[in-house]
Amino acid sequence: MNILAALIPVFPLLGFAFIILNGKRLGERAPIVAVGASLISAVIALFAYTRVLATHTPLSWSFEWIAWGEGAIRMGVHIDGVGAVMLFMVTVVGTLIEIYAIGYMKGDYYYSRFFAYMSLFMAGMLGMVVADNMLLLFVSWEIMGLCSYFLIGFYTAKPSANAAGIKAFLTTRLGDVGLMMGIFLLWWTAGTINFEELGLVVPQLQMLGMDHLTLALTIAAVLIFVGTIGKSAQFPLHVWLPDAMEGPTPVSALIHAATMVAAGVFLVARTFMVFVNFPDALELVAVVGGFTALFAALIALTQTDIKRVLAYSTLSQLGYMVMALGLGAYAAGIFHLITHAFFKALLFMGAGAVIHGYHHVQDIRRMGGLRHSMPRTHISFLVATLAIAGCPLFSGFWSKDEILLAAFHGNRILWGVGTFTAFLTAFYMFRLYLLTFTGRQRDTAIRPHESPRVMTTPLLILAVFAFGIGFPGSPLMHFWVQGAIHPSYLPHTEHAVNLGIMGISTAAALLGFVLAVLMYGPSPKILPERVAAGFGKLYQLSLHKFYIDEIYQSVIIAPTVGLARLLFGFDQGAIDGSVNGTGRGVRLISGAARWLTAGNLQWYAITFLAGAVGLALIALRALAG
Amino acid sequence: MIPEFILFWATAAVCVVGALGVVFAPNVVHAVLSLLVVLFGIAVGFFALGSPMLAAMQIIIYAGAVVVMFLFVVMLLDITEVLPSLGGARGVLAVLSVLGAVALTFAIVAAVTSGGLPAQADAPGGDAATVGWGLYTDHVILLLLAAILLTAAADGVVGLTQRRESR
Amino acid sequence: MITEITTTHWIVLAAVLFGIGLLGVLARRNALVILLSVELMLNAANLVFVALGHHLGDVQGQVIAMVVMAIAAAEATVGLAVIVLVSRTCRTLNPDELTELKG
Repeated sequence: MNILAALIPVFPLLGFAFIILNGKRLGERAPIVAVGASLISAVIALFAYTRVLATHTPLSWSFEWIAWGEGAIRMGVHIDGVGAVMLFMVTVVGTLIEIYAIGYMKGDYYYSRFFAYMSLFMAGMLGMVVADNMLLLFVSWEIMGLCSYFLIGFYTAKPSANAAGIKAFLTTRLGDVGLMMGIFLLWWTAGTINFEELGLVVPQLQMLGMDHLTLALTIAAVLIFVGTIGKSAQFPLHVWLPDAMEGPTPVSALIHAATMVAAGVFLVARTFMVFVNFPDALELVAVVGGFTALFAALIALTQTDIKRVLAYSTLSQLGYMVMALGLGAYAAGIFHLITHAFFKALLFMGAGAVIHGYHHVQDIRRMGGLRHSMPRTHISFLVATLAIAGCPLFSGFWSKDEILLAAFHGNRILWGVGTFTAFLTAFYMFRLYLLTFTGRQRDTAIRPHESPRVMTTPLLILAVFAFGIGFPGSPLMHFWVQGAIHPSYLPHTEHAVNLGIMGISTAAALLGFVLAVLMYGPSPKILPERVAAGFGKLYQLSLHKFYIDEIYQSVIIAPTVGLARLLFGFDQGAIDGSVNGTGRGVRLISGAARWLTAGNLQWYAITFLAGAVGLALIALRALAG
Repeated sequence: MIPEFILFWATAAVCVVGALGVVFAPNVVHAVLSLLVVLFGIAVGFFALGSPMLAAMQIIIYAGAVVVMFLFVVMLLDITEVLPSLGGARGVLAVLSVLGAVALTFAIVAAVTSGGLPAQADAPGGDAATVGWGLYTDHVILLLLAAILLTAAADGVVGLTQRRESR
Repeated sequence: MITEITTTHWIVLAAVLFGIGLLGVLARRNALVILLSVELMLNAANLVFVALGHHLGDVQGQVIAMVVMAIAAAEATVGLAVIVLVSRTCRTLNPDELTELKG
């Protein structure tokens, strides 16, 4: 059984290899392999996580990978509570999105290649979830990054897609460097990178109370968090995620909403033992998370591209999770990760269905009234909207509430930020919903149609999850999820219900809903244009995403390019010039010398003779002298 | 007994005339025959210099084997055409060649006459027995090397010609 | 000078023969004649060896002359074989026209 757990990421990897090697022959049948591989993994994972969750004992298997004099690096898998729930989420969401993609990607020229990349991504994600050490985690992490790059730039004919792919790759690379240095520092300080061992070693090191150790571990934590900032698109490295929407929508749903971007949060959770006793590191995490949550929500208010609104919403929600972890609310953060994965994947897939059925228009100002033509998409999208807005009983409500409760006890400012963000979230999500599905269709030239069953069925399944996945973590089921994922090195925490906090956050969500209806409902009372004019500069800031891209362009990219130009000029002029000059000089000399060696044997003999005469003359001089 | 100086000048005259014949004869057969003359002259020189055995070898090996081989090849290839020896577009080359050859000759002569030679040895040895003794004791390695070289040359020639025929 | 013959006389004779041979090697355009001229030069060298060996009363001069003879024989054999092959494939013995090393 334990060794079977190690096979979970292997099947998608085999699927990738099979599809990429037989792409032409498979053609339309490629998804069978991809979905089949995911299903096999899902079934094995099902056995694994039910056992882990039922027995509360982690599942692990490892082998000695590199041995040397003093010790060895072991490589293997370790599935504990948090790994188990992640496995559940990744396999369910991943498989459903792959099925959805069968319909969405139909007719694409690189149909089979798409499924190959999706399989490779699944392998990376599952590998990261089951990894028992930082090294395997990092390798899987990079596989995901690579797939993300491939899939963002999947429409290779689109220059903007290529640019977005490169931007995503380079931006996350910044974070990866941090993560790598963090791993090195942790290895050097703690002497191990195995998670279980770290859970034992780090608290002991902490107890020694030595300043330099504390400092080293804090720096390691911060560096690991830099990896999270890159992968989970936290401020200030958030710029790549909105652009990543250039990729196909199933990719946005799987990689850039549900799984890969949540991997950063998972990373902090996995290495939480490093963070937990270092208040400085935790505070940084919490502040970055809270700031990103608010910041992204503010931008989402004014965006008009359906996928970009969702992208900023993802940023905001990831900020929530990071903030929860920073506040020490480990279980709440992971719980929100899981619920968010379901409803955000659903939102993206709904958006994909809309785009698919609306002739690839993505501007919500041209939509409207789609609930009639796309009933199944509409109902699932509504469920997801209610879930993310925090409507009571829906999954987002329970998880968001946990985080806000933790914030209330931990940091009142962050609680205020979180509650305000909840209000903004409800507002922009209902704005999106109302503009897309209600009212009258604003662009009458387009004839919308519902997507095929293969796309809508996963939507409906996910809608059930988006509604109900919150219950296992709710007070109604005595916080079962939180108990299951609680790591052993953390002290036991009491989960309680605070009806006051719950009421305030519900009121905030309701306020957002009401405001959205007033502005974008069937009979608007407040005109959005007047609001925009009223906010003036603030509106412009939000519309232009706080000019972050422009700032990066002028502060970082332009000087870098300038320096590169300068170096290029130096390279061309001085270095290449001297190299080419050497070559040219040699050519010149050899061109002059060429007539000496024209292939005439007797001419050679004469020159030889001239040398001999010269030598003889020298000998004569010596004799005479 | 012919006086030494007559012997020398006669030999020198024969050799130089023969050598010029080798180089300037338009017909290859004549050139080969001129070489034969030179070789006889040099054999006489060897004899005069107290090396009768070498003189004999010169006649037997050179005149008997090598020159005959040359003649054989000339007949085999049927080279009767008369090639322009000097001049034409290669005038510069020819002039340079003459100048170079003369310069080298004068350099050698100058070196020999100006530096002078060490005093003449008392007992100029050089009969067959002495040469044989030297060849098979002190210089046996040279002898072996020469033997190997000849064998290799013989093998090489066989290889060269046979490979050509098998193609 | 004319009646008294010294070793120097023989060496000068050798030098003259050597020069004539050299001229043949450098200026003639028939490979066979070039080979003949090389033989001439080798013999001139032999003459020097023998003359100096006689002069110094040393047997080495003759020994080396014998080795040179062997080398000359080998050289003539191989050279002639090459000439035969070249004349068969290229139909010429003019070294100016033999600019290709390919068979």
